[in-house]
Amino acid sequence: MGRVEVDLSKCSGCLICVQVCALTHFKEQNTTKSAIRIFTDYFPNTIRRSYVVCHQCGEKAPCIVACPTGALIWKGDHVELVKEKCISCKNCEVACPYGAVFFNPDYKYPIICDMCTSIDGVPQCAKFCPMGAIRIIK
Amino acid sequence: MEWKGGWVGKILIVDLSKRSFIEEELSKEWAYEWIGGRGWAIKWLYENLKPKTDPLSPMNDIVIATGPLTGILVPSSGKVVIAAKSPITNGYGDGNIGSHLGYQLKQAGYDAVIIRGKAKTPIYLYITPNGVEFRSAEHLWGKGVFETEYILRKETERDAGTLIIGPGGENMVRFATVLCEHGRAGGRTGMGAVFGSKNLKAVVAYGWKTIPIADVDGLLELFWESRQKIMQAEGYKKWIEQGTVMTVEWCQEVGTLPTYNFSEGVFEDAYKIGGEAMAREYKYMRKACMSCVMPCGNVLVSKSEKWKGFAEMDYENVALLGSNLGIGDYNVVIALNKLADDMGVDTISLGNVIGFAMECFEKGIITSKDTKGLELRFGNAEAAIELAKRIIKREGIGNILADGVKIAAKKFGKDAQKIAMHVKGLEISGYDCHGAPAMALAYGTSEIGAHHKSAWVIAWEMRYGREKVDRAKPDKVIEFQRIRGGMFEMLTTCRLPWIELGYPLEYYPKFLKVVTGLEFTLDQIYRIADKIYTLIRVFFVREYGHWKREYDYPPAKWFETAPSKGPAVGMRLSKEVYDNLLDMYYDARGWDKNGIPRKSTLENFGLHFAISDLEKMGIALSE
Repeated sequence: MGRVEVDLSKCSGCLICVQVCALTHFKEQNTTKSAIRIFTDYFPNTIRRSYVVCHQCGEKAPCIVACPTGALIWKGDHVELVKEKCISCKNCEVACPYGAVFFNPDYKYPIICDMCTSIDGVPQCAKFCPMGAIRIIK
Repeated sequence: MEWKGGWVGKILIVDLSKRSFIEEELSKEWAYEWIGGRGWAIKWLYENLKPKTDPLSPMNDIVIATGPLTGILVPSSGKVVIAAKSPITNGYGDGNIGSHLGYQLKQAGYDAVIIRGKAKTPIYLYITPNGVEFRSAEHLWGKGVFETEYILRKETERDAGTLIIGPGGENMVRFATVLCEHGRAGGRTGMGAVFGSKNLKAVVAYGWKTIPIADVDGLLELFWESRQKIMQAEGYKKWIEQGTVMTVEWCQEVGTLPTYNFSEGVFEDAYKIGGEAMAREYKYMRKACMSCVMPCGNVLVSKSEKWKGFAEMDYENVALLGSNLGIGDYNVVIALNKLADDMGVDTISLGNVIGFAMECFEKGIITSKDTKGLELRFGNAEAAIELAKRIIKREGIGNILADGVKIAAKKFGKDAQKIAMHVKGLEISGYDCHGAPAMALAYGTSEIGAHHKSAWVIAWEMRYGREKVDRAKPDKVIEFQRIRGGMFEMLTTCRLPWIELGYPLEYYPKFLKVVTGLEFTLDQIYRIADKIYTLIRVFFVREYGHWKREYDYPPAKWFETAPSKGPAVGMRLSKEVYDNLLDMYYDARGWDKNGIPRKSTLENFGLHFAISDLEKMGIALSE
């Protein structure tokens, strides 16, 4: 089991990971169709950067438990969505303690990191990050 | 029409007076013939502003424009152009800013926003795919940019894109900028003052729509290749450590570091405020624009108790607020920079204005009676900061200096005009040109007044030979204006991958192909760039009502004085040499001896309307 982790001391906030995620999974240029988000928050006296991505909690993941139709299933190393079963109730979004289940207003299914198992198994965010800030931790 | 990609296809036109907006389809002519960014800005302003419009009146328009590659997975594509008639030059003015507003605007469904009229009370615009909301900004008026951004994001979205003004813009300081993201600034030609004149505190955008791309797989492939190329470039490591601030050391070595209001080209404490000192002792975090593989945003934190603060800094900030004021303490430079960013004024012009006031004080042109006791001597950090505050509030002598060095020099009289460092009213950016005639030509002929963004030929000139006088110099200025001031300002992406790390220009037509599905060649793009430069010149001539080649001259100081030390010791710019270079420049551009485009040039670019416009004003055009 592994998950995506961002070393914030290296991250520059360029959003390349965010874009690449949407471009590879949806074939779309759209930062709100990404399963990874980078935030740079500007407070009056400081700047803080943070990231949000699925923690791949396991078979008892809050999103899986919260899903009333069994549309989210644990595949041994990542969460997978069975679209046919999803009723867009957004219970998963509410349940996720990390805020890592995303919805785009024009797309009815939850967007959750699948560790790029649907691409080629190599997490594209980590591959494209120019700062070497993204790695997969076990 | 349906665009295959790049452009999203809509222009938003907002009328602040009526609190209404309309959407217009992006026309083929706009996309093919003017591409985006600066191209659209000059076209809109030329066609829609009444000649001689007061830049700070409701009749001026603001153009916020992206380009076909903005906000897309293209190296360093996070730029937006902000343009209007400039209150500091009275001609065409613009600036570009690395802001999340670019991609957010496109995800909201718009390629550009044009803002007209004037709001009755302070407002901000919130643009989403649902349209435009006119929201009250009464609670934000008077607040600094940093606090405003914090509040705006709480009121909208956490990662909304913003363009904000501070009290400097509200008070219509003529060099007020538009800012975002703690220290990103654009529009040193007074775009912040134009926002302020319209009671417009901010523009905020947030969107969730997809930006169309003609060939997504092609885009990913091309970006991967580009990423490798840029990251493997020689100099990459140093660049991401120091960014543009390393230029302090370089300028010191060649004697072009603005020092004591551009009197000298070397500064005794240069290494204390250089790139190495920054990376070693002050750098706190790294900030990138969207899609940038080579982030240059250096956030510095001061180490002193007295000068607390943090600021994102570039070379120009350090040179103008440091050496140009005789200040060799990074902590003070950081404090000044933070003040300028938070209050929303341009750091380059602010450094010029304070340096100018210091020299006036030291020469007795102004006295402590004028400054209400402020000892405006070079190196006096307290005085510099206090004067900056008065300028932003337009208090006392600050009210005069808030109009920039050109207007202030006229008011101060005596020999003040000889030490006012500007071209067309816009203050000089970070290169002393006593011994750099091609760079002086770049400032003289820059399309917005003295600025380095387009023809940054200084590094080339030092390699080529500062003493040489030949056609290669004006040709290089034009080449750089074409690429940097033309292509990158239209696309709108950043010039730094190319100029700093040698990323090949041939990639841009390739990106245009995969993004828009259209074939563009570099030559086609350069031709459009040349057309833009000519139309900007026509705009200036129309607004001034006449033109003189003297308007394309650099400041008198470079002709009349010489540095007393360093590699440029004893050098002064020769008027004869400059005139020679300017003649060659005009000739290459197809402009006449006075800098007015020839009839044949205007015809060649299809700018027939400009011929009749100028002739109606009684301006005789050469064939």
